[in-house]
Amino acid sequence: MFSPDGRLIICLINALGSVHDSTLAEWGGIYNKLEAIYKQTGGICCLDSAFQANEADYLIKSSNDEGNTDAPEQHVVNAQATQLRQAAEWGMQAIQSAFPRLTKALKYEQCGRERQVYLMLMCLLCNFQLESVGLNQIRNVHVPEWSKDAEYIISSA
Amino acid sequence: MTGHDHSAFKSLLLVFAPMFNMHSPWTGHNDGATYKPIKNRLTGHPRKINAVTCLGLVLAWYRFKGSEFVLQGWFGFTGTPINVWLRFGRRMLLKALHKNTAARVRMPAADKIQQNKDTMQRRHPALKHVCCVADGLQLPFQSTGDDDIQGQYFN
Repeated sequence: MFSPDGRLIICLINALGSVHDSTLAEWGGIYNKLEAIYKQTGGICCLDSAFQANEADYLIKSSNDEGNTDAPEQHVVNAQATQLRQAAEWGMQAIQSAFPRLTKALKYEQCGRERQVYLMLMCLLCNFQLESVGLNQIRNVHVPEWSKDAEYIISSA
Repeated sequence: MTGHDHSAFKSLLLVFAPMFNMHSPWTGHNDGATYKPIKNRLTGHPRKINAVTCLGLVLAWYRFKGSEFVLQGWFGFTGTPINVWLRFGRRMLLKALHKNTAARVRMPAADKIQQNKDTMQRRHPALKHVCCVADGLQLPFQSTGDDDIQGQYFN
């Protein structure tokens, strides 16, 4: 889960690839956390339609189905939620491109404990890189005043 | 090679080096997965690897998709020592970053959440009170050698 400044704020790691996103969020207590945040601050999380089938006040889901509502305001909300959810894809791409090793299957390392170490460290490094290097598409788009691009990095080197 | 510029690497080294220098992977298992604090730093053999090299090794491993023997050539170690230092280095980096405020994965405070909501609404005015976005990521970075098991359980 990413905040608009690009930081990883909640993550659940080391689950099997076959587990559905929503099931994983349920198991990992992410829905409970989001509900608590909603009650405390009113903050809502934007995610894709794969998450939780029933309606929850603390979730807003993107929708490509234009026929699911007649209200024009809801059309606008759906369209903007779909646009905003793109930020989550940018975040996931940031992880995959920063750590190419994790996109390659390792067959010789069968130790589950080692895998957990890789993944935990990946999440921490991801946030540390964001603060120290600062190149992140979510931040560049949503908080342009904090953003850095490659030209900035090269010119200040 | 490490994904960090010089200043970022130095700031990471600042938190990594004390952990690296105060712990030892030589616990009896000697596989790098276990470690112990060094009680007396004046005794024992001098290390053939320093904190800079070990941090570089850990970061380069994440960035590099090729075989590990290439890393052996880059860092000047043979297979077994490089595995030990890689595992040990990962654990020390994890220990160093675990409580680091720049790296920690945690929900922001209430005032920061309000700031996030305002930031999101500035770009998407119809979305009121949205403070974060979420998605799932499937990384195929560990798989079984048996294609049947892979297909049945892990796809």
